[in-house]
Amino acid sequence: MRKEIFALMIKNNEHFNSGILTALSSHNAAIDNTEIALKLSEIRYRRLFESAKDGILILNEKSGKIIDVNPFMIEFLGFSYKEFIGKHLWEIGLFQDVAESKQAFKELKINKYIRYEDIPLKAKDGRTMNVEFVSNVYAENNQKVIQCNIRDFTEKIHSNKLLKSSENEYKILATELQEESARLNEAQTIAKIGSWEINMSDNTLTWSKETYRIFQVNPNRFIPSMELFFKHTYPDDFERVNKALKMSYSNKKLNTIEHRIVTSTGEIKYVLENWKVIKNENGLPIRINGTCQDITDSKKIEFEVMEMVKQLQYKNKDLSQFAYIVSHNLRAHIAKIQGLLFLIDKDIERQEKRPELLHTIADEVIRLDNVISDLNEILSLQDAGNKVIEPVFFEEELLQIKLLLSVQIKESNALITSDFSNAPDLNTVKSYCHSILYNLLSNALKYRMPNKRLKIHLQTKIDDSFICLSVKDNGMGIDLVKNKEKIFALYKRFHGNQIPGKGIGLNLVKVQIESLGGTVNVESEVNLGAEFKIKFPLVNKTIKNEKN
Amino acid sequence: MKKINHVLLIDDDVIINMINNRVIEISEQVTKITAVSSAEEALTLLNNLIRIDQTEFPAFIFLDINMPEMDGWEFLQVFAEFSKEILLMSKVIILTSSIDASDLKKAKNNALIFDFISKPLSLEIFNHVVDPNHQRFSINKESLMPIY
Repeated sequence: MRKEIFALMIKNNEHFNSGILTALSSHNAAIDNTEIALKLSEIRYRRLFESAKDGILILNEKSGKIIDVNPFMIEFLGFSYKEFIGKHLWEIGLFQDVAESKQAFKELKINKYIRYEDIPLKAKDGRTMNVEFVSNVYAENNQKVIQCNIRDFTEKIHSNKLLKSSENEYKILATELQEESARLNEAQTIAKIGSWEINMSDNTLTWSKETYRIFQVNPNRFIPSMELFFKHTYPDDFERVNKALKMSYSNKKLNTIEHRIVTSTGEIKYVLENWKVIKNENGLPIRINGTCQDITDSKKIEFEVMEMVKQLQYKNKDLSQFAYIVSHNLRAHIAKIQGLLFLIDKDIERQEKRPELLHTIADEVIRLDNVISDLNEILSLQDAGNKVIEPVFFEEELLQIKLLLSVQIKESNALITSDFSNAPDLNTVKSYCHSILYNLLSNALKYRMPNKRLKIHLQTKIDDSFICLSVKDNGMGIDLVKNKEKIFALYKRFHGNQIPGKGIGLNLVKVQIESLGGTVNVESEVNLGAEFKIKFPLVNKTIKNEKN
Repeated sequence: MKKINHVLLIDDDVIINMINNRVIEISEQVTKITAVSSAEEALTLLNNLIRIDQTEFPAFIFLDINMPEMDGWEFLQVFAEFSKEILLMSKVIILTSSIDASDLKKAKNNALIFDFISKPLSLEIFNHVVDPNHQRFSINKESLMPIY
């Protein structure tokens, strides 16, 4: 009857006449109120029990056997309701160790409450889970029951573990990253390779520590920028670098360029830059990543090697010229002596010629000796390294040479003029300069036109880092089309035997000027004359070759 | 044995010409020997012979390489322009003081050159090189090198 009233109360709640309620309440108020409250609490409890997202087991306190189980628990472990009822906890996979289970119950009886945060639980299908187990004892209908709340801890533990491990990983990573960064920095320093990045959106530049070091720029005082970079680019290389960078915007490959930089302390360094342009999905460049390697040391070695190769090539040329002289000029005299000896030995019919032949042999021996002396002189000339560099005045040298050649000058009635006003003197090896002038003048006097007054004009001027000496005549000249290659070669002669000469003068000029670091050139037309142009390098008064 | 009509010696060195001339005389194989001291002189002489008396065209020409003005190689360039019949009348032999392997190689590659001899010209070598049985470049340089 009370139940019906209660149901009616709820059903017709809105239309309920407060007067009726009041009448009923006054009739049996105390009992009804308690019962209704109890009923409500029971409903609430049941709802909680049924809908809880935790597993709930109700155990008989005395037997320890399951007397009720909520749907969540059924679903959770996969046993049916019937399978739960009347079982001990260890039979459904909780507290699988019986002794442990009994110990837990003892504790529960004393404390009326136990809580385990992380105990294993096995479901019917074999899944193992970790659960939080809270258990307390209370009385229900004058009977003591144990309520066990079981909450799935697996996920929580897992995520806890994950969180912990990821936290650890992060720490390790952070340490590794730090170490890696330190190692990278160190590696960059050792390899002398800095890195850089250009952000294309705002044209900003970022440098690694090593890049700062390469440019000798203080990272605390300067923010790298394209302006700063180009400011440090060697002026002559700027165009090339700028162009290469611009060109790379449209390509996908690894770009590379070698150029010079001027560091903030003024040091010139060689760097090798490698970079790649990174583009977005639309193909527009978004940033440029590059490296900058200091290759100054290897570049210096490269230059030294190049210089050595050049020197070796010269030496090799000298050697092959030496071999040529040996095979031609020395052999020529020896062959003659051999031939003459043959005649002395075998030409019985002309015994009377013997003294004459012996005399010729003696002449040939002298010539042979001269060739050897010439060779010795030329070979010893080829290293001007230890010769003293001193000021030499052209006017003074010319005067001395005119004295030496006075007979030939008088004989040829040559008109020698000179203009040294643009470059009256130079620092050089005096004996070489003397010898060069002597040979050029003596050549001009020798190869004059027979029926034309010989005119020789000498002139000097400064051209770049050279002092140019020109010796020009109106003599026989040399057919350069035919003889360009041979003109300065040793023992090469271009005019017949009517003019004396060994073919050594111009070779001496060449060897001497080259050992001074200069050059010799000739312009000539047959029967019109020749102009020899000597370029002396401008040097300080110090010894030219300080290495030795 | 039939004598060689004419041998031409081309060398700028008068002593070499004198020695070679005498060696050939001693061989008693040659009727006429002419020595000139330049390639130009030789070409003038040869041109004259073609014009005047081709039977006098030298059967052997001993040619030096290193000469001022026109050298041996340049002489050969001009010489090559003579007609085939004329060229067949003569054998050109390089006679040089050079012992340079590159000169020998260059000579072998020139079809006009019959042989290559290092100075001085000895009796033995001369007799060998003018021997009609002698093939192109057949001189064994080692064995025929004079020992003086």
